[in-house]
Amino acid sequence: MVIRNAVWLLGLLMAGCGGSDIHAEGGWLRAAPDGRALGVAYFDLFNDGPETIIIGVESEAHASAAIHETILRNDINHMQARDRLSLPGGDTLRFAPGGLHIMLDGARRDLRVGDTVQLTLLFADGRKVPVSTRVSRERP
Amino acid sequence: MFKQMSKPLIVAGAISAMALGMLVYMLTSNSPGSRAVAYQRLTVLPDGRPLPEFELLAHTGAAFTRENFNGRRSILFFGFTHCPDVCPTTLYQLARVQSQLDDLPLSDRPAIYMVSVDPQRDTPETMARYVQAFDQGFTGVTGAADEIERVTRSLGVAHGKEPGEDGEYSVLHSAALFFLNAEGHFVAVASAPHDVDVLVSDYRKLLSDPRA
Repeated sequence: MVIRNAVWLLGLLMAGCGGSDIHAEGGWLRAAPDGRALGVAYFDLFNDGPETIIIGVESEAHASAAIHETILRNDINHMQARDRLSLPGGDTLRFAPGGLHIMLDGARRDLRVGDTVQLTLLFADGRKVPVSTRVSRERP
Repeated sequence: MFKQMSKPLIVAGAISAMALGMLVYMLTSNSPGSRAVAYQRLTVLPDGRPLPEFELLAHTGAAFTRENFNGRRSILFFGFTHCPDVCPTTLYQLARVQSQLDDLPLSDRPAIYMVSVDPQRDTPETMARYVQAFDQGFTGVTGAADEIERVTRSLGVAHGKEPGEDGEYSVLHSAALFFLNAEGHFVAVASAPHDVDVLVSDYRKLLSDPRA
């Protein structure tokens, strides 16, 4: 009982710490080419810990952000919202053109090439993982 | 088995195999378009197909008909400006294709078009701002939904609306690229996913393909 409580407490503490076992790299963001409020962000997400679930995303520069996936089926692109996305333990999720991406809308400021935009991934266990993205026309 | 065959029989067999091989070679090398152009992603139609008549608008607001495709090869992409992922990716790729082909004489370089499959939101002005952000030379085409449908149906471009939240919608659409020759005939299609180097190499082969 004591051990179970300790494990539970440890889990709670880790959840509150921000989870250093998950981190993002190579983040970049493509603002709408015609200067509108639409944008899209990509990055690689590494998980050195156990499996976890992503339940959402926020952008400090946009009114709305959501995880979407482009699925190519019979040569047709379908876009699908991913409200819950599993991030398996010891695995990497690649957000890249033509696949998983962060769909952004309602840009609150003018985004120029070279600017930095902070995203936050939200996890089912309460963790929040920051993702830094740089505005670019194409994958840097 | 060979041990049981007489020498003359083996020689006769070898001669007839060679003759058959030569016959096949002669037959295939005389048929049009058989000079085995090996494409990586491109499928070339056996015969170019003219497009049906249609009346659309270029991003300048000027009338755009099938005659606009005459005089130069074209690459057509069907998309919409509210598309955050695939459309910008493809158009940036096409801009790179365009610049990698700038060693060709102007008449051999492709004119690149994005045809909207979301005319409800894509006005000529919207298309102008959008396509020109990728390349000043690109042309955006939009217009009445039923006129767009004439083009998409003739090329076999699948598209449709996908309802989203709060009355918003997304548009599913074919990710393929469609190639027209300088007579405006549909001659080839490249299926997704696209790669700039592959598109450039395939396009160069298309220039010397007698079918295209």
